[in-house]
Amino acid sequence: MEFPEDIWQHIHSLMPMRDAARAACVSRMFLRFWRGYPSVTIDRKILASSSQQGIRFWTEDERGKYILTKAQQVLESRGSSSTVVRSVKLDLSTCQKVIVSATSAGGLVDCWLRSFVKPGIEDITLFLSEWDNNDYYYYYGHDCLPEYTFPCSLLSDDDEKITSLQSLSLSSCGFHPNEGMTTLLGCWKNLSTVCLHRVAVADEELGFFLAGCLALERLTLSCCDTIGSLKIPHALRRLRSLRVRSCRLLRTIESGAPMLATVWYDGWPLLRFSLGGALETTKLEVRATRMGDVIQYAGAKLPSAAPDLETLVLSTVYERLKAPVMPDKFKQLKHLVICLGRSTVFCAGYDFFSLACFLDACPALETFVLRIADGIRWYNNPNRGKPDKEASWKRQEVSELHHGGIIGNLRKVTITGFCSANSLVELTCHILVAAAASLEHMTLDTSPGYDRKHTSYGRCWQMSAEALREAETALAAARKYVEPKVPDGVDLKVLGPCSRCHLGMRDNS
Amino acid sequence: MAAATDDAGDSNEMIRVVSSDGEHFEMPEAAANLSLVLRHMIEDDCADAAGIPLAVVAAKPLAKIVDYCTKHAAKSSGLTIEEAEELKRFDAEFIEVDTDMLYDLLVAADFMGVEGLSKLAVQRTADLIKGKTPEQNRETFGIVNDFTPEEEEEICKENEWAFQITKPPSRLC
Repeated sequence: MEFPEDIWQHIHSLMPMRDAARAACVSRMFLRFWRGYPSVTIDRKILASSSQQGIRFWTEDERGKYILTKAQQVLESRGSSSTVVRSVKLDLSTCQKVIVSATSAGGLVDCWLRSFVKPGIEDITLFLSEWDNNDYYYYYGHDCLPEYTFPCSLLSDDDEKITSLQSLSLSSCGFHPNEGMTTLLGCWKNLSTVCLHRVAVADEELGFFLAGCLALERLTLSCCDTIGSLKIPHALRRLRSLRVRSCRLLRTIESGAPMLATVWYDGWPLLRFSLGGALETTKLEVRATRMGDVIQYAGAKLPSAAPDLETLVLSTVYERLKAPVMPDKFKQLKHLVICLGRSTVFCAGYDFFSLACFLDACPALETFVLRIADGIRWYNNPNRGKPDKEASWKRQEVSELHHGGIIGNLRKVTITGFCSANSLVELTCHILVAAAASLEHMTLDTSPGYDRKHTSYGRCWQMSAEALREAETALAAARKYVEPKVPDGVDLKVLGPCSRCHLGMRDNS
Repeated sequence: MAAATDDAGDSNEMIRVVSSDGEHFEMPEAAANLSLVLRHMIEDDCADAAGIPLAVVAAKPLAKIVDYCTKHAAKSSGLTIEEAEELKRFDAEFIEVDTDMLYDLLVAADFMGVEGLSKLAVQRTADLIKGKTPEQNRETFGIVNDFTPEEEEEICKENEWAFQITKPPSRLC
């Protein structure tokens, strides 16, 4: 019974680094595999896997020394090999900053990277320790820049240039590629994934870097508090996913990437947000938490900027809803999903009916999903809340804006979180009229959505007591105002709260 | 769900395979298609009533492989989360075998190009090696220690860190 060596090698490469190192002592064959073990990882597990609990009671100083000793041992045992390492991961994020920033550790990180970052490297992950909490609250901004700077020069030694890098993940360090580093040109050309977390990088440095990332597919930036403006060049033709979170100083996102399909933005309101004028994607998902004008933007710009769009998902939390001005129509758009988060506010005079303008500008639409979060504040009485005389004027404007269009292909409409707001009933009735010829299914779901319940344990999304009360009113409104207007042949489903999950919850509370 | 049943139902044709020791097995065409080698044979019209001979796969592992493929083919596409979990449980039980069988499965899955099974068996082997001393691993997998005592000492010293149980911090200072 001979076990083929290549199978053994494959098995060996799948083992975590610690076990792979232990197995090296089994036989010469395993030692060979270990010399060629394709990845090097130092993280919490490697550093202290045997008694993780125990290490918590150490003083920081002791722990620091331990970590350094251990890291050095690992380094030495791997350093003697001459094989190409494809993946290097150094994760010290759970260690205190003082330890990592100590000169010895700084030297260790450098030494570590220099030992393993060679031509053939595909994946570099470097997580240094997070800020100490105290630092974070007392000093904010540039005073508190991370001390270790990722050595870009690693990738472009005098004699050989490393171009094999595909994934770069940095956390809590500085990253300063600049135009002076001409040797860096071409080093990033195979990078497909870049993830920067708490990285100090200036706008122009990031710009220089991105300009060279011609194969970039995914870009994630989080808590990078030095970035004020993010500009993505048109040349990044493969970029599909852009996620930006909690970058405090960021005020501008301008993307020219033509294939962008996913944009998640979670952070402070932006002064400028643009996805460029030449999107070639057929599917686009924009999720934003604190931007107030996602629907406005999508309505005003996307029909002309993204003419091929077939599926559009807009998910917002703090939308300031008003009727979008839509100079052009979405000629190809077939599927539209709009999620209104709980902090949506209506601009004076506007209400759910404002969305009619959006729908009317989608002549090819086939499915429409509107998700309304539990807890949205809406007003039925024009005298309650802000809207007053202005309201009727605005309503007139809305009527003028939407062209009484016919949504001739709309077959399926789902509204979840359906509430009893007059304007929502009005919007629903408007759809019934505009899509009378094609509509087949309409679901008015007063729960947060049966279609997205947690299938893994079969429970529905939670509903607050207030939402449960509102659901009853909404059911009545749907039956009274919507049902009579439903044309023959349309399958209308009006759904109340789930008897098992929601009503059961109310009994318990 | 309906789609998955249809997919499996479409290919009523049974494929016959013959183990190295001459035993015959049958499985639906969809199941046989999970093996790269069998799929190519079927595409080239080599599947006949006599059965496809598998010269290096003995009856015992082949029976297991037929089981595996039949189960996985029946649930190929459009899995619900429950079904996916059930399949995972099936895999976990399926691979609870002794090292001889594991070894046979590894070689056979590799030969027949059954990717899912290869992965499963490889991962299982890796899991078996983990956490064992070198001596235990040699015993489990019948590997000969071909190091000289000096070499062994040296390599064990070099990889000492991997064996270390976290020491009390006082000794590190």
